[in-house]
Amino acid sequence: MTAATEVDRSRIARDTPDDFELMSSIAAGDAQALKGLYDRHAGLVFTVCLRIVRDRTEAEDLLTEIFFELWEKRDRYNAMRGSPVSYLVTLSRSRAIDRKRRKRPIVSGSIETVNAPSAGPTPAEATEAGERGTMVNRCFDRLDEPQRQAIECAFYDGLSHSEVATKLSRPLGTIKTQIRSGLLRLRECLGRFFDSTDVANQGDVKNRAT
Amino acid sequence: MTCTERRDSILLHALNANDHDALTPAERESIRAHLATGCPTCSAALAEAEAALAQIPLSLPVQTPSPAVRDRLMQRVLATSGATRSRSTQAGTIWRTLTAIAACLVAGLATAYFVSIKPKHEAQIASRDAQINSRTTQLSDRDAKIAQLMSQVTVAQDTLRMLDAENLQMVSLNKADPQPTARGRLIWDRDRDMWHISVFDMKPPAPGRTFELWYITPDQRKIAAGTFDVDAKGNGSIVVTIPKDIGPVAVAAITDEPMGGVAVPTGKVHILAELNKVTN
Repeated sequence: MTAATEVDRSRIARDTPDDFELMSSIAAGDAQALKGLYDRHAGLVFTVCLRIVRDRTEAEDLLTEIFFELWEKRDRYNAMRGSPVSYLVTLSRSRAIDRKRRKRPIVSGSIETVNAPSAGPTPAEATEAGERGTMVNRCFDRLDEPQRQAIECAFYDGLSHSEVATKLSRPLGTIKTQIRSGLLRLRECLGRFFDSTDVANQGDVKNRAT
Repeated sequence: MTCTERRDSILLHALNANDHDALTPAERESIRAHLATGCPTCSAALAEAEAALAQIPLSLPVQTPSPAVRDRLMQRVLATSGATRSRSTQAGTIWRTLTAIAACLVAGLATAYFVSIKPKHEAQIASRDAQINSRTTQLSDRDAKIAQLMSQVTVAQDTLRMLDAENLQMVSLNKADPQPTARGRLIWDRDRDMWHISVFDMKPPAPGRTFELWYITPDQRKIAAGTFDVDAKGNGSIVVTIPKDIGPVAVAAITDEPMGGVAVPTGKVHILAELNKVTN
């Protein structure tokens, strides 16, 4: 039995059909659907924003702006392009990086100080987030530390490869290799764990040595 | 560059489309131009890349915003909706007033005429309306039947051509949990790289959803192949041509998806065939 099949996949709430239905309802002008989507994914969007801008007030402001943009430009989402969660995370990352670039850089402050105590997730949210986080961290564990650092710099700070090389004091060629090989490995690993159907599982269980 | 070769570059493009170091200018422009063509393989690769990148933040402990944020958001949303309604209401009031005045004038001039012949006209109009509605319904039904028959003819023609092929293989489809009685077969025309898939005894998908076929490669890429429905008996079929640039296909799987299909599978597998054990 492989790690992926040990997990009760029915309890991992990824983009369930309800997310697509909510987006359809939002496109039709249903404000309650927006509230439903917010309740479901505000934690994730806020986490992304907070990690990037490293300021709770800014992150909450971004959270409002992102969901309001989703509402104002509700005809922009295309289900054929990807899931609502992918759309939200992509939008959040883009807006947060733009905001960070417009602001004066924060000189000090680690992740530990930014992650101030909050109201906390509900028990159901904590269970779901914990399971998904465990799977993602298992994939990250397959990277070596330099690969992980390079990818996180590029993803959360929106840095180009040369900017990452400068920040981490490594040659550009090394950074290119680390980011490319790390992303390919992540894509393969995350694709196996997070397909919300049995499609990947069927292929994996049959093809992977147990 | 083939679409298969472009898949890895698309992943870097999704990370940062404006990074001058990750891809050469020619590579960046090639990707942008190719995606603009709507290539389904590369669009799926982009969706796959964005989905993978979207999982990265899940490694972080989830933070909860203050409840006031939700309240601010909904107040702003409702205020915007309310402002739109308010302006519309004012304009509507003016138009309603003008319309009412005009209606009074017209009613006054036409009263005598309509009192004498109105009942007769109403009866004639009602009768003609009923005829028109009936004819319209008949035409719609016929259009639907014609479309269905044309689709069946196309599938039958494709099937006949396939049966005439020299290099055919038949593979049984294996049912999955949602379909306790489903059966299926895949006829593979090796020379033309075409599949004719027939399914039987399938429970239909939920309202608003359809069945979607996927090509799954040995490296777990899932490429959309098309959608189809089953009839009242649970029978259905689909004929597809395997794209040349996706490489070998290991599994053919059918899931249920939102109507119209999606680029990345989200629903449960209903029936599938393992092809990596099928030899030439």
